[in-house]
Amino acid sequence: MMQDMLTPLVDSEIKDMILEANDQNKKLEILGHGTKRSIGHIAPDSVPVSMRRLSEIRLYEPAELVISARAGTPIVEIERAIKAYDQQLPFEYLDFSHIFGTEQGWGTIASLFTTNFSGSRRILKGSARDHLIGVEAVNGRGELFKSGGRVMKNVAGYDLTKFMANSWGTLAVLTNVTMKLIPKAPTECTLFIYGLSEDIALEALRTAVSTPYEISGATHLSRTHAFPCLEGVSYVRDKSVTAIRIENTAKSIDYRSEKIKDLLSAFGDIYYIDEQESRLFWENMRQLIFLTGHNDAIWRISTSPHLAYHSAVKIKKLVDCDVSYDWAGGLLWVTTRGVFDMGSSDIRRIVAHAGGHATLIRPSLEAVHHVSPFHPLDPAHMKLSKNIKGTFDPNGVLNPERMYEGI
Amino acid sequence: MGLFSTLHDNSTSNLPRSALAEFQQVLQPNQIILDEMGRRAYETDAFTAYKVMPLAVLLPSSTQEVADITAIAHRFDIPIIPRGAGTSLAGGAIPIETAIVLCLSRMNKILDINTTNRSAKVQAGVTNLAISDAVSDQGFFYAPDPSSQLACTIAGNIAMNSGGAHCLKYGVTTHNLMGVTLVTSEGEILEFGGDYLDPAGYDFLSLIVGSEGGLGIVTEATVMLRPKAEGARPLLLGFETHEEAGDCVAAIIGDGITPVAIEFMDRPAIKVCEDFAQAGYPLDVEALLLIEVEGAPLEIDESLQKIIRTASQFNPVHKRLAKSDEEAAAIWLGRKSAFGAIGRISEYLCMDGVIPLSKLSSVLAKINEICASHKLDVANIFHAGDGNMHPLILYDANKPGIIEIVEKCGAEILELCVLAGGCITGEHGVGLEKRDLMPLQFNEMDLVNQMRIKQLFDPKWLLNPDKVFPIEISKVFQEEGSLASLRDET
Repeated sequence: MMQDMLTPLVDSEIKDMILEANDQNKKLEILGHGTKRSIGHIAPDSVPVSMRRLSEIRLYEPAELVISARAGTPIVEIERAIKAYDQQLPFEYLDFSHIFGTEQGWGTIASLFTTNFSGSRRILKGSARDHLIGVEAVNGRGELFKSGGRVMKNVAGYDLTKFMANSWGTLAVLTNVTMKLIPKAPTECTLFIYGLSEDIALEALRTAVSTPYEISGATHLSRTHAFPCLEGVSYVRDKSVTAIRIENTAKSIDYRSEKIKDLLSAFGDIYYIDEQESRLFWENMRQLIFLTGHNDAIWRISTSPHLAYHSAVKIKKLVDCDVSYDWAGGLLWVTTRGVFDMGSSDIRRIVAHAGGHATLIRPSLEAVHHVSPFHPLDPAHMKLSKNIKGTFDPNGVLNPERMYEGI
Repeated sequence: MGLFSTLHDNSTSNLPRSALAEFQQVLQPNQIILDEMGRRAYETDAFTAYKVMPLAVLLPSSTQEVADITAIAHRFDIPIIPRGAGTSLAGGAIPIETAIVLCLSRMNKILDINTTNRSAKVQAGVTNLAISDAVSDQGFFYAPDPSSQLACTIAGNIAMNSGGAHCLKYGVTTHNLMGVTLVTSEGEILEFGGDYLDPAGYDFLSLIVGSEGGLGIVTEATVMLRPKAEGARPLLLGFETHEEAGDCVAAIIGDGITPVAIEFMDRPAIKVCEDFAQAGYPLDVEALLLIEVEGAPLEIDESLQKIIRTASQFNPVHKRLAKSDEEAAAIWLGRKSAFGAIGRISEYLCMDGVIPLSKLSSVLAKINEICASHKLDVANIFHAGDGNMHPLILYDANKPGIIEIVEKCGAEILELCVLAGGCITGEHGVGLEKRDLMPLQFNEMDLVNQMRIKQLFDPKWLLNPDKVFPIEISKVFQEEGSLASLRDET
């Protein structure tokens, strides 16, 4: 049974809750809007703590491209504020609402960083973590601390700011985050090539991202994955699609798209997708539309681009699945069907061999067996991770076992 | 007398003989420096105000040798000062008397270049520029570009999270590092990250970068390679006041333009750099901005037009575009050799505070006031685009007591930066130089949360032990596990 939700308003209340949880041997589940609650383990007896009331943009300096907000500030509110100055979040945060069947438009700013899921632009502009420049937080001991600040360059002391990224609220409760923004590109276009096989597509993407043309999206969707993602974008929907995005001024993208077209002409017919459709396509990517329309398990795999295709071939031999690629091959999205463990053991073995890690974003909707969502750590990293958890949260009060057993 | 004989002549080093015997088991004779002359080369780094002789200098050539050395030092409780090329401006590689220096200069191989991954795996003693040189033919480069990039090592860059002029666009070391091999204080070899993006589990890489060699010794690194731009061109803009130049920087950034670099020089700095590089800097302006944009010629033209349009609101009295590669190189030579050029005319202490862009002109005015109050001259050269200031406080080293005055002046400047919403160091690191200033930026709990991490990775505090944290504070923490007794005293 879900316990009554705690709804702190100020940092000191969070501190008191944590101290009380330590005293009374309680566990706390730290929640934003709960948009990623389906990922990872939730301790059944934990008390939910909603960060929703910590909602305020505390500082926005458009001339410095810096914004600072309380942890529970809705992302849409941040986006609204920065849009007025033609600025944007540097990375595309993933919207899981379609694949989890939850309401759209939710998500808090802190959760972008604690989960560190970055979308297609990550290859050019970096991850969510890369743009987090300051945090205020309360650790599992109930201690308030801060790290970083509001300036981009800051090497004073250990970088606890970026260390909070991808920690899933298991080390500390972030109460305030400060991040760097980027100017919104004046316009964009995308080049499509239809029907390429995976190995050829990856070669095309590799070629594109090795140019000086600042490719901000380099994706190959399988035929199955392309179909829902191309709705409203392209009349051709029954083929795989290889997509290359260029963002800049109109003059620049004209120049760069011609250069890329020349360079990739041997790969097949290249279709120029103009701004409106281009924006729709990448918004569909951000919303993971390409992973909808089925009950399959969904895997997100970060790996070495040069081994991505070989890994995919091996996985396909053993598991009934579809594979798509982002980050010019550095990220694989794999949907697996009807397998006892959703392909977990094969996928994780193959990925570990190539270098990287596989996260089970969503189990098959028919799954009967539990599979850990996060890639297992080797013994040395597990030991270190447990020790770090013990350093920040010795009694395991914060999101216990959300990521790994004992963490 | 060759190096080998120094092994038998331990009279000048207090390194325990039993420890030496063990080091000799794992290293060749020419990898151990014990003689005074040899050790003297390692008694300081680019923060030359302080010098301390180490017990010995060890020069490993592999990760395993680093692990062996570290394990032995751990057994004998001998502190280790990791060192790359010794270019730290913050005293990050200055020894303590009881320590050995572990210098990575012989671990200078590029192990693998993978343009499909856009990554390079290198030994940590490789120099920053060597990576870009190795991949330049293939159209790539390694982005962080500290001024010392010809000499400084990746190990040092990782330790200090180094930046450089071009990190306005490309980020600092932490944004360009994918993986490391780390030797722990007990000699265990651990791998973090790899040739893929975003590691699994906790992001230990983020802790290791900028930890100033205090959490482990990085022996290998996988760094990100980026495609080189088609071209680049610098623009010089001169202003009659610092305020106009500072406001111009904020306007350019706020206007949605991200140049690769925006550098600022004040009148004293312009004069010295012009004398040195003959770059054609104007000598009749109070402030000079060096702005570089990248791209194809038509893109460069478009960006520069926009910048010039924005800048025109701030009354630039001098405007010059580099018309050739040679002219561009000369413009950058002036900036990149600025510290050296100023070093030819005076001793200086280089500060590294960062401030929010909106405070640029007011902070500059106050820096000049602070220096004047101490009767010291100052030259300002810095990365204006990200607010990373490098006031160079000039002084005459022959004046008795001058170092204390200069340090006091520097501390006041850094306090000013923190009060303005910035920090005490943007790219040089804390090291020895700024460790006692950490409380300006961090309170007790902030520091305790950092020191617990040091304690976890290095329970005996043997790795670069007297850096980053104020001595008194770290001693209390090591003894008590908290700072409660310090609080009671106050």
